[in-house]
Amino acid sequence: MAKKRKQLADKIRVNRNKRKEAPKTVNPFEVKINHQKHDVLGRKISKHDKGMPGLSRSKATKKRKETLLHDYENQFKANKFVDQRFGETDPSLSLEDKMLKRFAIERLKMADKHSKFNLNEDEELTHYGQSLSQIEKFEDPDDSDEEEDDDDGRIGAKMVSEEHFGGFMTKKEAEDARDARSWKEKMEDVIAKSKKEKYDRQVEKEKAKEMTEKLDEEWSSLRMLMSSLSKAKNSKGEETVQKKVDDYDIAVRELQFEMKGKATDRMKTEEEIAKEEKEKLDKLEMDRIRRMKGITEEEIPSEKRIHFSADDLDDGFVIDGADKEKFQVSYKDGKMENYEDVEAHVSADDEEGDEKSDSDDDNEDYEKEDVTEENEEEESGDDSDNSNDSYEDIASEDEEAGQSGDEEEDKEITISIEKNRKGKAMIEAATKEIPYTFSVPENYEALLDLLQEHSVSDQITIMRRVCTCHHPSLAEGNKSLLETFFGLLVQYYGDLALQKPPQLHLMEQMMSILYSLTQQSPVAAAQAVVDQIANMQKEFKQICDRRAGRGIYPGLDTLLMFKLVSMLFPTSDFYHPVTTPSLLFLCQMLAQCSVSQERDVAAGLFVCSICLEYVSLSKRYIPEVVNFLHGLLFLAAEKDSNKIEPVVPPFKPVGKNVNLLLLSKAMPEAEIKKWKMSELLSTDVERQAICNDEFRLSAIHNSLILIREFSNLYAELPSYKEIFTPITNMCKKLPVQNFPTALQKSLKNLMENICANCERKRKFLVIQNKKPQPLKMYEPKVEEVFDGKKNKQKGTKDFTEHQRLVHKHKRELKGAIREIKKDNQFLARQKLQKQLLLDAERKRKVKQIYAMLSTQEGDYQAMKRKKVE
Amino acid sequence: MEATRSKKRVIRDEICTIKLRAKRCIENRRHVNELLDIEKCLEGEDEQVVIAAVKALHKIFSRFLLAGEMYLEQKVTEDMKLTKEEEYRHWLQQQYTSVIGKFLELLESNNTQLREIVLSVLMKFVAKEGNHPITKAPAKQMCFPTKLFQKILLSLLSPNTNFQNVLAKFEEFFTYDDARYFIFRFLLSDMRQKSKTETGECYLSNVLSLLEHATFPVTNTEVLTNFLTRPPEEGISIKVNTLKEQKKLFTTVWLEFLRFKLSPSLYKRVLVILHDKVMPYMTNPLLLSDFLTDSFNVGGAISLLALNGLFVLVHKYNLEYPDFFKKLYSLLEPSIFHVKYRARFFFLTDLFLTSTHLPAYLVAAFAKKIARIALAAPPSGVLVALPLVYNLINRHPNCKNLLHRTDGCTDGDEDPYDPTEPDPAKCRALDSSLWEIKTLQSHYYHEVKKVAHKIDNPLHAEEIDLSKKLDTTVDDLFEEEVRKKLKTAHLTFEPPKGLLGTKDDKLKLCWTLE
Repeated sequence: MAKKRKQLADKIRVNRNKRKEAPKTVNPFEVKINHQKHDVLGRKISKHDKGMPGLSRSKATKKRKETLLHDYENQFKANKFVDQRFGETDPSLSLEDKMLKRFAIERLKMADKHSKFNLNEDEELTHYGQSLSQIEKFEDPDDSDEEEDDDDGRIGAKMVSEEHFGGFMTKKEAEDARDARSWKEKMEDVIAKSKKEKYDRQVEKEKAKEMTEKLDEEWSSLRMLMSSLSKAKNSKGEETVQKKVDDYDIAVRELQFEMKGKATDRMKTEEEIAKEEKEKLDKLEMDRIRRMKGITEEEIPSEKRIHFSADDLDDGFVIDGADKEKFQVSYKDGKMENYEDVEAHVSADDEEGDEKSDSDDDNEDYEKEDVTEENEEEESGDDSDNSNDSYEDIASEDEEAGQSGDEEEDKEITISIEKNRKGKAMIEAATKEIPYTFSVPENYEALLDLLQEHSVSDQITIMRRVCTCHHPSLAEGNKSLLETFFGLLVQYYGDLALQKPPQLHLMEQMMSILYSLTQQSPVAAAQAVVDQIANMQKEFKQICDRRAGRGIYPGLDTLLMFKLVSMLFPTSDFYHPVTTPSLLFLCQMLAQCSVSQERDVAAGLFVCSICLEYVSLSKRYIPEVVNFLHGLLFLAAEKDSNKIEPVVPPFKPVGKNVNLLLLSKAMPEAEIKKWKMSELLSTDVERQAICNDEFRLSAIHNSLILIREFSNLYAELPSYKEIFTPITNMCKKLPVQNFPTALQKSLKNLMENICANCERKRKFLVIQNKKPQPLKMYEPKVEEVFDGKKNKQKGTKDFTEHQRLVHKHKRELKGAIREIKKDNQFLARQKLQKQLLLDAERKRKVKQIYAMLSTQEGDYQAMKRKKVE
Repeated sequence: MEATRSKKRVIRDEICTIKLRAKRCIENRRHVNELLDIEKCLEGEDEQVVIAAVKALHKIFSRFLLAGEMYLEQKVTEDMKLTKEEEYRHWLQQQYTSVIGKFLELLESNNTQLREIVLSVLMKFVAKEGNHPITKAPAKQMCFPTKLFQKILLSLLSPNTNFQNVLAKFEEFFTYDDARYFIFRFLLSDMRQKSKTETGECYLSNVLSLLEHATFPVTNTEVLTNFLTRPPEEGISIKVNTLKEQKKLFTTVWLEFLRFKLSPSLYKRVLVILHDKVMPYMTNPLLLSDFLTDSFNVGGAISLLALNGLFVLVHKYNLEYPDFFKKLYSLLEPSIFHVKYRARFFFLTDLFLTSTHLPAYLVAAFAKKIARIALAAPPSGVLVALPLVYNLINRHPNCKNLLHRTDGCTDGDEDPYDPTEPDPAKCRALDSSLWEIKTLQSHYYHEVKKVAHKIDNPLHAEEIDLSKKLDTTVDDLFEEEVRKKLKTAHLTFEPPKGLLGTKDDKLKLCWTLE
């Protein structure tokens, strides 16, 4: 044993030495140096400053010999012989070693134990190469059909006689002429045939097996019948015995089929889920703020470089201030306090100062719950076969409605939920008649057919079901179906507003469906909404053209479409493909629609409210709204007939509608109610119905509310005073004495508020100091990081990418051509060499024959001479 | 069905007979009486028949004019003894005048096609008669058929019917120098006559549509040669063929016209063409200065339009107009962004203020005022106003103060600028700062925002080209926004809870969902 080991060690050493003995010796005559004329500082030193042409040529030849030549030689050969014996191709092994290794491997294969407890380690009994221990399990009793084994893997006799040895005995001339297939193809045919035969046999066997099983079953049932006859004769005592057995059996089965505990991911605790949700929301909010400022994603400033001290070893070991703040080990009651706890403390401290953000958090908590619920709902909605589907929908909808309320309403809501729960059974019964699957309507008429005859809640259920049935994850193409469905729904949404009375509640409930559809395919949804708005604007424009630039406020459908936009798309973005045109259109309406009757006032105020909503987060300045509100106050003010007030179009300083909102009598006791959308905004409002002092008063009230809101929004603007002074001037002219006291008070508050905001100081404009531009010098420009070349090309990303690819293609093409040329040269050389070899051989043979003949001739002559002598 | 078909057939037959008669008339004197039959057709009801008759008469009389069949040596008086031949010719002349009278009546018909055909036929008669006069004319002079022409012109300038479309066809006759001369002459005499009596709007509108199309030859040669009728022989200088005389006439015509009291729409039409179609051809455009200054003082859109003419006067004809900039300044009101001639106004304002020799206080006042009114402007207006302000500041480095104040005091508590002060010299704009642009940095429309943010950095020295933005409307902006291809669409992350569901929904302030 020891001796053996030593041998092995020696061998290794010898091998190592061998490797060491071949050091890299560079023959200086083989090196070619590419001299550079000038050394240029900063230019990258070329990779090709020296080359070894001989070496690389020989490398290339060698490679070609291995690949190209190999292919060339095997060019018309269909088969090849692969020698897979161990070590056969390794020239470093001696014959003895090879044999040893082969034996070792064989033993190793055998040593692979099939059973841990098989002590009989050496032998495993085999039969035809298969281990007997595996065969002997007799798992498949049907294998008793014996005949299938006999021709396993063999070829039919006909085939053998025809094809083996080229079919030299039976080959037909005619067939040969016709059949111009290569040998390889023929063999493939043979293989395919035999495979097919085998498959057919298998199928047949399976059929037979099935039949037997069926027969067996029938037989057993038959036997049961027969035995039941005999059983009836037996007493009941046997039955009790059987029962006892059953109990036991049940227990066993239970144990058997009991789910075994499997390791899964740890369940997330509620806090963790909530935290994740919050993080997600925080991220989204950050995103929104970023978009509001108009910063694109690429522009996000990367984290500031952390200062490294001079002693920093750059080994990743950090004692950093920032990190220290984040994590400090602290102990509490003898235990180390959790890291997250610490963080929570810190954040709680932060929030204490800022009540607003705190309440926002509360909001978000609410939302979190909603979101999780929705997710669940969606998940459950995914399996469309679930018949409970609609039930859940309704339930969660109820809950949603409940949670949308304020905190004070909580109690009421819980009660209402209870009520709703009771009513669920009823609703379910009602919805039972609606089918559970729908196809997506292809056009608007189909949608109307689908929905028209159902009640509000049923329509919602139908829409939901269409969405769940065609969830994008269920089938390909569903996404585009839902996209068209969304477009139709948006159209339907608009048309609902035009019905009499407007179906506002249905619209309200559609909102969540529209929202979820938008989330699924944002771009298509945005395009649909944009198209809708563009159409509306086109109509508006045509009206304007007809009326010399003055428009009419559009119907409720258009107005509520903007509300939809604000619900689905973020209104605070610096630029957004949907909200930006919407806002433009809104403001265009305010600037161009003439205000000649009460409905115009109402619609204008509605548009103002929507504008307020659009800009309430971003605090953007909308001149049109300010002008409009100013104009409304002008309509409500008492005018001095001698003086012309400066008002901005669409309002006119003189005309018959100048006193549209001027109260006709004092109304100290009037109560101001909120306006109802359906009453005031439809295009066919009867003018007489709303042409009264109540309307005027509420119009004034609403405009004052909006002015208050906008004044708060714009308080930071440097021109606040200039913007709001005309409004305060107009406020002073309002007939205050006719107003109810509440309104008087709010007006007074508003005036004070505006005056207070006007007091703000502002600084003169100063352009921020920039680093002065240095004079242009003829000194070299020093770049801190120089990558070896000037970056001349400054194009778009696509352009540069295209250029790069073109360049690369050209380079590759050149390289490929060069390689092909070299390959051809190589092959030609090889052919020549082969030819030369053959010629030399022939020459040699001829020479040999000549030599032989000459000696023969010599011998013959010698013999002749001898005879003569 | 049957009735209309038969009617059509009747009409076709009638037209055929008219053609046949005309042919016979021309061929043989014996059939000349058929003229009367054709003439009768002029009073027919069907327009196609009338048109056919007009064409036939045109053919007949132009042939007669060419052949000189109506030529008479002297004027026929009642007691004269005439030969058969002379009598025939006299009769033809009578028919000719009556036909022309009927044509002139036809001019007032409602059918524009008929009107145009009749007018062109009449003018062809004028041309033919000029070349082949029907009475004896002095040999060397030209013989423009003044009487015929006057009749045509006067019927076109009728105080009852608006001939705007027909008069547009008159443009081609303005290329003929003699026609132009006589148009002006008759117009002048007619207006002088009418000025004594009350004139309707229709008459003035007709006159203006005629004057609108007045053109003068492009080449500036003094002697005119492009004549509709036989031109006078060379070397003879009469009023008709001298450009100077014609211009003089043109000037008096215009001055006469402007004496009338014009309605606002006519007034605007006059002002729109004044600077470009009238002034270059007047002998002394300064004669218009009274009219223009008066219009400038009217205010509103009329002042805007008068600007252009005034500018040409000041610029090219040395008009002294001391309060020009003050007036211009007073035109800057927030409503300027909503008027029809907005593009023209801003183009001109930019033009007026191009001079770098204007005092800094004036330019500052303009810049400040424009910025101030931009606060209440629609986005399309702001996109014009802001570049204009930048251009002003660029041209006048002294005004950089408006954007960058370095003289120590940094607290501008109260804006020193007084927007109500009408005199730009006293409004203290130079002491102010352009907070308005700072405000517009938070405008709702992103393009405006971008432009307003330019003041955060030193302005670029080159001028900003305004011309592309002058005509853009909010509609254009909207279209541009909608046309952009959608790549991404961000969404709200807060699921909505109904229409007014959100907690701080702004719509809930005033509205309920009912």
